[in-house]
Amino acid sequence: MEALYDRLSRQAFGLAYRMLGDSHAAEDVVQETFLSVWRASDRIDTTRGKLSSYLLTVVHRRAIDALRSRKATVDTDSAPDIKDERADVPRTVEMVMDAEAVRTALTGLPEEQRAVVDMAYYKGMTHVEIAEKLSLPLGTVKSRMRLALDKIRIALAGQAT
Amino acid sequence: MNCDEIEELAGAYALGALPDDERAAVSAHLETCDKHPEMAGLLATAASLALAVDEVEPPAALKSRLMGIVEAEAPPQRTVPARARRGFGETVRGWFASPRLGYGLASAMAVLVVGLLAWNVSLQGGGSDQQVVNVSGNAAGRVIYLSDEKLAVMDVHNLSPLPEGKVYEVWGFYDSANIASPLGLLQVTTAGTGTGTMAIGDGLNQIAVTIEDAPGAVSPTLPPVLTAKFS
Repeated sequence: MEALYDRLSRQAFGLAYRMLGDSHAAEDVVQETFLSVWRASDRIDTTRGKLSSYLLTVVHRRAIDALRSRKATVDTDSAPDIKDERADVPRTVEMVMDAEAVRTALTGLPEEQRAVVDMAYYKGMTHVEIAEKLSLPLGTVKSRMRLALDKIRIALAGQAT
Repeated sequence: MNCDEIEELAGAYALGALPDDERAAVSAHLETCDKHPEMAGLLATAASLALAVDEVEPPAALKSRLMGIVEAEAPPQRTVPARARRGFGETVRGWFASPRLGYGLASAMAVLVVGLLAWNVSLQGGGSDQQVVNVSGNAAGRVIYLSDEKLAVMDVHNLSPLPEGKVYEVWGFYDSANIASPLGLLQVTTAGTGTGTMAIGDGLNQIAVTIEDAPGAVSPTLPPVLTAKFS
Protein backbone atom coordinates (compact mmCIF):
# COMPACT_ATOMS: atom_id res chain seq x y z
CA MET A 1 0.00 0.00 0.00
CA GLU A 2 2.78 2.39 0.91
CA ALA A 3 4.59 1.64 -2.34
CA LEU A 4 1.39 2.16 -4.27
CA TYR A 5 0.86 5.46 -2.52
CA ASP A 6 4.41 6.60 -3.19
CA ARG A 7 4.04 5.80 -6.87
CA LEU A 8 0.63 7.29 -7.60
CA SER A 9 -0.24 9.81 -4.90
CA ARG A 10 1.25 12.84 -6.68
CA GLN A 11 -0.65 12.05 -9.86
CA ALA A 12 -3.84 11.34 -7.93
CA PHE A 13 -3.54 14.47 -5.81
CA GLY A 14 -2.67 16.57 -8.86
CA LEU A 15 -5.81 15.40 -10.63
CA ALA A 16 -8.06 15.90 -7.62
CA TYR A 17 -6.59 19.34 -6.92
CA ARG A 18 -6.93 20.41 -10.55
CA MET A 19 -10.59 19.39 -10.55
CA LEU A 20 -11.58 20.63 -7.12
CA GLY A 21 -9.26 23.61 -6.66
CA ASP A 22 -9.21 22.91 -2.94
CA SER A 23 -6.43 21.11 -1.12
CA HIS A 24 -8.62 19.76 1.67
CA ALA A 25 -11.24 18.41 -0.69
CA ALA A 26 -8.52 16.89 -2.85
CA GLU A 27 -7.02 15.22 0.22
CA ASP A 28 -10.38 13.68 1.08
CA VAL A 29 -10.80 12.34 -2.43
CA VAL A 30 -7.30 10.88 -2.57
CA GLN A 31 -7.55 9.33 0.87
CA GLU A 32 -10.87 7.65 0.14
CA THR A 33 -9.65 6.50 -3.25
CA PHE A 34 -6.55 4.76 -1.90
CA LEU A 35 -8.59 3.17 0.86
CA SER A 36 -11.22 1.89 -1.56
CA VAL A 37 -8.54 0.45 -3.84
CA TRP A 38 -6.78 -1.15 -0.90
CA ARG A 39 -10.01 -2.65 0.38
CA ALA A 40 -10.88 -3.96 -3.10
CA SER A 41 -7.39 -5.19 -3.94
CA ASP A 42 -8.58 -8.78 -4.19
CA ARG A 43 -11.24 -7.87 -6.71
CA ILE A 44 -9.47 -5.63 -9.18
CA ASP A 45 -6.89 -6.25 -11.85
CA THR A 46 -3.64 -5.10 -10.33
CA THR A 47 -1.29 -5.19 -13.28
CA ARG A 48 0.52 -1.89 -13.40
CA GLY A 49 -1.27 0.00 -16.19
CA LYS A 50 -4.66 -1.31 -15.18
CA LEU A 51 -4.20 -0.48 -11.52
CA SER A 52 -3.09 3.06 -12.37
CA SER A 53 -6.06 3.43 -14.67
CA TYR A 54 -8.46 2.12 -12.06
CA LEU A 55 -7.10 4.30 -9.29
CA LEU A 56 -7.05 7.49 -11.33
CA THR A 57 -10.52 6.71 -12.68
CA VAL A 58 -11.77 6.41 -9.11
CA VAL A 59 -10.11 9.71 -8.21
CA HIS A 60 -11.78 11.31 -11.20
CA ARG A 61 -15.16 9.81 -10.40
CA ARG A 62 -14.99 10.85 -6.76
CA ALA A 63 -13.89 14.33 -7.66
CA ILE A 64 -16.84 14.62 -10.04
CA ASP A 65 -19.18 13.43 -7.30
CA ALA A 66 -17.70 16.00 -4.93
CA LEU A 67 -18.08 18.78 -7.52
CA ARG A 68 -21.67 17.88 -8.24
CA SER A 69 -22.46 17.52 -4.58
CA ARG A 70 -20.93 20.92 -3.99
CA LYS A 71 -23.16 22.43 -6.67
CA ALA A 72 -26.26 20.75 -5.34
CA THR A 73 -25.68 21.46 -1.67
CA VAL A 74 -26.87 24.72 -0.25
CA ASP A 75 -25.44 23.94 3.14
CA THR A 76 -21.73 24.03 2.45
CA ASP A 77 -20.93 22.32 5.72
CA SER A 78 -22.50 19.09 4.53
CA ALA A 79 -20.17 16.31 3.56
CA PRO A 80 -20.19 15.42 -0.12
CA ASP A 81 -22.32 12.43 -1.02
CA ILE A 82 -19.56 10.18 -2.24
CA LYS A 83 -20.98 7.22 -4.08
CA ASP A 84 -19.73 3.69 -4.25
CA GLU A 85 -17.76 3.76 -7.47
CA ARG A 86 -17.22 0.05 -7.59
CA ALA A 87 -20.46 -0.47 -9.44
CA ASP A 88 -19.39 1.19 -12.64
CA VAL A 89 -15.70 2.00 -12.69
CA PRO A 90 -14.16 -0.27 -15.29
CA ARG A 91 -11.54 -2.47 -13.69
CA THR A 92 -9.78 -3.85 -16.71
CA VAL A 93 -8.88 -0.80 -18.73
CA GLU A 94 -5.19 -0.33 -19.30
CA MET A 95 -4.16 3.25 -19.80
CA VAL A 96 -1.32 4.79 -21.73
CA MET A 97 1.36 5.72 -19.20
CA ASP A 98 3.19 8.40 -21.19
CA ALA A 99 2.16 11.76 -19.74
CA GLU A 100 3.95 13.81 -22.38
CA ALA A 101 2.25 11.86 -25.15
CA VAL A 102 -1.14 12.55 -23.59
CA ARG A 103 -0.39 16.29 -23.30
CA THR A 104 0.74 16.41 -26.91
CA ALA A 105 -2.38 14.61 -28.07
CA LEU A 106 -4.56 16.92 -26.05
CA THR A 107 -3.00 20.10 -27.35
CA GLY A 108 -3.27 18.73 -30.88
CA LEU A 109 -7.05 18.76 -30.73
CA PRO A 110 -9.09 21.46 -32.46
CA GLU A 111 -9.98 24.15 -29.94
CA GLU A 112 -13.70 23.33 -29.90
CA GLN A 113 -12.98 19.70 -29.08
CA ARG A 114 -10.35 20.51 -26.48
CA ALA A 115 -12.84 22.82 -24.79
CA VAL A 116 -15.47 20.13 -24.29
CA VAL A 117 -12.85 17.70 -22.99
CA ASP A 118 -11.64 20.32 -20.54
CA MET A 119 -15.12 21.11 -19.30
CA ALA A 120 -16.19 17.48 -19.10
CA TYR A 121 -13.12 15.73 -17.77
CA TYR A 122 -11.32 18.38 -15.76
CA LYS A 123 -14.25 20.49 -14.61
CA GLY A 124 -16.73 17.66 -14.11
CA MET A 125 -19.48 19.26 -16.14
CA THR A 126 -22.21 17.14 -17.70
CA HIS A 127 -22.86 17.17 -21.42
CA VAL A 128 -26.08 19.11 -20.77
CA GLU A 129 -24.25 21.77 -18.76
CA ILE A 130 -21.63 22.10 -21.47
CA ALA A 131 -24.26 22.45 -24.17
CA GLU A 132 -25.94 25.20 -22.18
CA LYS A 133 -22.71 27.00 -21.45
CA LEU A 134 -21.55 26.92 -25.06
CA SER A 135 -25.04 27.46 -26.46
CA LEU A 136 -24.68 24.38 -28.61
CA PRO A 137 -27.10 21.56 -29.42
CA LEU A 138 -26.60 18.60 -27.11
CA GLY A 139 -25.88 16.36 -30.08
CA THR A 140 -23.01 18.59 -31.13
CA VAL A 141 -21.44 18.34 -27.68
CA LYS A 142 -21.74 14.55 -27.70
CA SER A 143 -20.17 14.39 -31.13
CA ARG A 144 -17.27 16.61 -30.13
CA MET A 145 -16.58 14.48 -27.09
CA ARG A 146 -16.48 11.32 -29.14
CA LEU A 147 -14.39 12.87 -31.88
CA ALA A 148 -11.94 14.25 -29.35
CA LEU A 149 -11.45 10.89 -27.67
CA ASP A 150 -11.04 9.14 -31.00
CA LYS A 151 -8.38 11.64 -32.05
CA ILE A 152 -6.51 11.34 -28.76
CA ARG A 153 -6.64 7.57 -28.98
CA ILE A 154 -5.28 7.59 -32.52
CA ALA A 155 -2.56 10.07 -31.57
CA LEU A 156 -1.48 7.95 -28.62
CA ALA A 157 -1.48 4.82 -30.75
CA GLY A 158 0.66 6.60 -33.29
CA GLN A 159 3.19 7.70 -30.70
CA ALA A 160 3.34 4.25 -29.23
CA THR A 161 4.45 2.69 -32.52
CA MET B 1 -31.42 2.17 -23.31
CA ASN B 2 -30.59 0.61 -26.66
CA CYS B 3 -27.30 0.17 -28.50
CA ASP B 4 -27.77 3.28 -30.65
CA GLU B 5 -28.24 5.41 -27.56
CA ILE B 6 -25.14 3.87 -26.01
CA GLU B 7 -23.12 4.76 -29.09
CA GLU B 8 -24.41 8.30 -28.95
CA LEU B 9 -23.43 8.65 -25.29
CA ALA B 10 -20.14 6.75 -25.47
CA GLY B 11 -17.85 9.78 -25.48
CA ALA B 12 -19.70 11.52 -22.68
CA TYR B 13 -19.76 8.30 -20.66
CA ALA B 14 -16.02 7.78 -21.02
CA LEU B 15 -15.32 11.37 -19.98
CA GLY B 16 -17.57 11.12 -16.94
CA ALA B 17 -19.91 13.74 -18.36
CA LEU B 18 -23.18 11.93 -17.85
CA PRO B 19 -25.56 12.61 -14.98
CA ASP B 20 -25.75 9.76 -12.49
CA ASP B 21 -28.91 8.19 -13.88
CA GLU B 22 -27.64 8.08 -17.45
CA ARG B 23 -24.25 6.84 -16.30
CA ALA B 24 -25.88 4.00 -14.41
CA ALA B 25 -28.06 3.12 -17.40
CA VAL B 26 -25.06 2.97 -19.73
CA SER B 27 -23.10 0.88 -17.22
CA ALA B 28 -25.99 -1.53 -16.87
CA HIS B 29 -26.28 -1.89 -20.64
CA LEU B 30 -22.55 -2.55 -21.03
CA GLU B 31 -22.70 -5.25 -18.39
CA THR B 32 -24.90 -7.36 -20.62
CA CYS B 33 -24.12 -6.24 -24.18
CA ASP B 34 -20.99 -7.15 -26.11
CA LYS B 35 -21.69 -4.94 -29.12
CA HIS B 36 -19.58 -2.02 -27.96
CA PRO B 37 -15.96 -3.19 -28.19
CA GLU B 38 -14.79 0.37 -28.80
CA MET B 39 -15.84 1.39 -25.30
CA ALA B 40 -12.72 -0.07 -23.70
CA GLY B 41 -10.55 2.10 -25.92
CA LEU B 42 -12.57 5.20 -25.12
CA LEU B 43 -12.36 4.51 -21.39
CA ALA B 44 -8.63 3.92 -21.58
CA THR B 45 -8.17 7.13 -23.53
CA ALA B 46 -10.23 9.09 -21.03
CA ALA B 47 -8.32 7.55 -18.12
CA SER B 48 -5.08 8.67 -19.75
CA LEU B 49 -6.20 12.28 -19.51
CA ALA B 50 -5.35 12.15 -15.82
CA LEU B 51 -1.70 12.04 -16.81
CA ALA B 52 -1.88 15.40 -18.58
CA VAL B 53 -2.31 17.10 -15.20
CA ASP B 54 0.80 18.28 -13.38
CA GLU B 55 1.69 16.12 -10.42
CA VAL B 56 1.26 17.77 -7.03
CA GLU B 57 2.88 16.57 -3.83
CA PRO B 58 0.12 15.86 -1.32
CA PRO B 59 0.50 17.02 2.29
CA ALA B 60 2.69 14.66 4.31
CA ALA B 61 -0.08 14.24 6.85
CA LEU B 62 -2.21 12.49 4.25
CA LYS B 63 0.17 9.58 3.97
CA SER B 64 0.47 9.23 7.72
CA ARG B 65 -3.27 9.27 8.13
CA LEU B 66 -3.80 6.78 5.34
CA MET B 67 -1.19 4.36 6.61
CA GLY B 68 -2.68 4.61 10.08
CA ILE B 69 -6.09 3.60 8.78
CA VAL B 70 -4.65 0.75 6.75
CA GLU B 71 -2.73 -0.54 9.74
CA ALA B 72 -5.80 -0.33 11.93
CA GLU B 73 -7.87 -2.24 9.39
CA ALA B 74 -5.28 -4.95 8.69
CA PRO B 75 -6.31 -8.32 10.08
CA PRO B 76 -4.85 -8.80 13.57
CA GLN B 77 -2.32 -11.57 14.06
CA ARG B 78 -3.68 -13.95 16.62
CA THR B 79 -1.72 -16.55 18.50
CA VAL B 80 -3.19 -20.02 18.46
CA PRO B 81 -3.07 -22.35 21.46
CA ALA B 82 0.25 -24.11 21.94
CA ARG B 83 -1.23 -27.53 21.30
CA ALA B 84 -2.66 -26.52 17.97
CA ARG B 85 0.53 -24.68 17.05
CA ARG B 86 2.73 -27.66 17.63
CA GLY B 87 0.57 -30.12 15.77
CA PHE B 88 0.04 -27.89 12.85
CA GLY B 89 3.66 -26.93 12.60
CA GLU B 90 4.80 -30.52 12.64
CA THR B 91 2.27 -31.43 10.00
CA VAL B 92 3.35 -28.62 7.74
CA ARG B 93 6.98 -29.54 8.13
CA GLY B 94 6.05 -33.11 7.36
CA TRP B 95 4.60 -32.03 4.06
CA PHE B 96 7.85 -30.42 3.05
CA ALA B 97 9.86 -33.38 4.26
CA SER B 98 8.15 -35.60 1.70
CA PRO B 99 10.03 -35.39 -1.62
CA ARG B 100 7.57 -37.73 -3.30
CA LEU B 101 4.71 -35.40 -2.58
CA GLY B 102 6.68 -32.36 -3.62
CA TYR B 103 7.89 -33.80 -6.92
CA GLY B 104 4.47 -35.10 -7.84
CA LEU B 105 2.86 -31.76 -7.38
CA ALA B 106 5.67 -29.92 -9.07
CA SER B 107 5.04 -31.83 -12.28
CA ALA B 108 1.44 -30.72 -12.28
CA MET B 109 2.11 -27.04 -11.78
CA ALA B 110 1.67 -24.71 -14.69
CA VAL B 111 3.59 -21.51 -15.20
CA LEU B 112 1.15 -18.84 -14.12
CA VAL B 113 1.00 -15.24 -15.09
CA VAL B 114 -0.03 -13.63 -11.87
CA GLY B 115 -1.55 -10.19 -12.10
CA LEU B 116 -0.92 -9.53 -8.47
CA LEU B 117 2.70 -10.50 -8.90
CA ALA B 118 3.03 -8.02 -11.72
CA TRP B 119 1.57 -5.33 -9.58
CA ASN B 120 3.77 -5.99 -6.62
CA VAL B 121 6.89 -6.43 -8.66
CA SER B 122 6.13 -3.17 -10.41
CA LEU B 123 5.83 -1.46 -7.09
CA GLN B 124 9.18 -2.63 -5.88
CA GLY B 125 11.30 -1.06 -8.60
CA GLY B 126 13.64 -4.00 -8.22
CA GLY B 127 14.76 -2.92 -4.78
CA SER B 128 12.72 -5.14 -2.55
CA ASP B 129 13.59 -8.51 -1.13
CA GLN B 130 11.17 -10.75 -2.96
CA GLN B 131 10.57 -14.48 -3.01
CA VAL B 132 8.26 -16.37 -5.33
CA VAL B 133 7.34 -19.84 -4.10
CA ASN B 134 5.11 -22.41 -5.75
CA VAL B 135 2.48 -23.85 -3.47
CA SER B 136 2.23 -27.54 -2.64
CA GLY B 137 -1.05 -29.29 -2.09
CA ASN B 138 -4.41 -29.66 -3.74
CA ALA B 139 -4.04 -26.83 -6.25
CA ALA B 140 -1.41 -25.10 -8.35
CA GLY B 141 -0.17 -21.59 -7.85
CA ARG B 142 2.37 -19.43 -6.14
CA VAL B 143 2.95 -17.02 -3.34
CA ILE B 144 4.96 -13.85 -3.73
CA TYR B 145 6.50 -12.69 -0.48
CA LEU B 146 7.77 -9.11 -0.41
CA SER B 147 9.62 -8.97 2.85
CA ASP B 148 10.47 -5.28 2.61
CA GLU B 149 6.84 -4.46 2.08
CA LYS B 150 5.69 -7.04 4.61
CA LEU B 151 3.24 -8.28 2.04
CA ALA B 152 2.40 -11.68 0.59
CA VAL B 153 0.30 -12.22 -2.51
CA MET B 154 -1.20 -15.63 -3.18
CA ASP B 155 -2.61 -16.71 -6.50
CA VAL B 156 -3.74 -20.32 -6.93
CA HIS B 157 -5.79 -22.24 -9.43
CA ASN B 158 -7.87 -25.38 -9.58
CA LEU B 159 -9.11 -25.11 -6.04
CA SER B 160 -11.95 -27.45 -5.23
CA PRO B 161 -15.30 -25.78 -4.65
CA LEU B 162 -16.34 -25.72 -1.00
CA PRO B 163 -19.68 -26.52 0.54
CA GLU B 164 -21.69 -23.42 1.30
CA GLY B 165 -20.44 -21.60 4.37
CA LYS B 166 -16.93 -23.08 4.38
CA VAL B 167 -13.95 -20.91 3.54
CA TYR B 168 -10.30 -21.17 2.60
CA GLU B 169 -8.27 -19.45 5.32
CA VAL B 170 -4.61 -18.50 5.03
CA TRP B 171 -2.16 -18.90 7.93
CA GLY B 172 1.38 -17.68 8.43
CA PHE B 173 4.22 -19.28 10.36
CA TYR B 174 7.08 -17.25 11.72
CA ASP B 175 10.67 -18.03 12.65
CA SER B 176 10.25 -16.56 16.09
CA ALA B 177 7.86 -18.98 17.72
CA ASN B 178 6.29 -21.31 15.18
CA ILE B 179 3.10 -19.38 15.58
CA ALA B 180 0.23 -19.92 13.21
CA SER B 181 -1.36 -16.57 12.64
CA PRO B 182 -4.50 -16.11 10.59
CA LEU B 183 -3.72 -13.91 7.60
CA GLY B 184 -7.15 -13.70 6.03
CA LEU B 185 -9.38 -15.52 3.61
CA LEU B 186 -8.57 -16.66 0.13
CA GLN B 187 -11.14 -15.19 -2.23
CA VAL B 188 -12.12 -17.97 -4.63
CA THR B 189 -13.98 -17.59 -7.91
CA THR B 190 -16.41 -20.16 -9.27
CA ALA B 191 -13.64 -21.23 -11.65
CA GLY B 192 -11.51 -22.22 -8.66
CA THR B 193 -9.04 -19.34 -8.79
CA GLY B 194 -8.09 -18.05 -5.38
CA THR B 195 -6.32 -14.78 -4.64
CA GLY B 196 -5.36 -12.95 -1.50
CA THR B 197 -3.11 -10.10 -0.48
CA MET B 198 -1.91 -10.39 3.09
CA ALA B 199 -0.05 -8.19 5.52
CA ILE B 200 2.85 -10.19 6.94
CA GLY B 201 5.05 -9.73 9.98
CA ASP B 202 8.83 -10.18 10.07
CA GLY B 203 10.34 -13.63 9.76
CA LEU B 204 7.67 -15.46 7.79
CA ASN B 205 8.79 -18.98 6.97
CA GLN B 206 5.64 -20.74 5.81
CA ILE B 207 2.14 -20.04 4.58
CA ALA B 208 -0.60 -22.63 4.70
CA VAL B 209 -4.23 -22.72 3.61
CA THR B 210 -6.87 -24.65 5.48
CA ILE B 211 -10.58 -25.21 5.06
CA GLU B 212 -12.58 -23.68 7.89
CA ASP B 213 -16.22 -23.80 8.78
CA ALA B 214 -16.48 -20.01 8.88
CA PRO B 215 -14.29 -16.91 8.64
CA GLY B 216 -12.37 -16.01 11.77
CA ALA B 217 -11.10 -19.39 12.96
CA VAL B 218 -8.55 -18.98 15.75
CA SER B 219 -6.75 -22.21 15.03
CA PRO B 220 -6.23 -24.05 11.78
CA THR B 221 -8.14 -27.19 10.90
CA LEU B 222 -5.74 -29.91 9.83
CA PRO B 223 -4.55 -30.93 7.37
CA PRO B 224 -3.73 -27.88 5.26
CA VAL B 225 -4.81 -28.06 1.65
CA LEU B 226 -1.95 -25.85 0.47
CA THR B 227 1.44 -24.88 1.84
CA ALA B 228 4.32 -22.69 0.72
CA LYS B 229 7.70 -22.50 2.45
CA PHE B 230 10.05 -19.53 2.38
CA SER B 231 13.78 -19.53 2.98
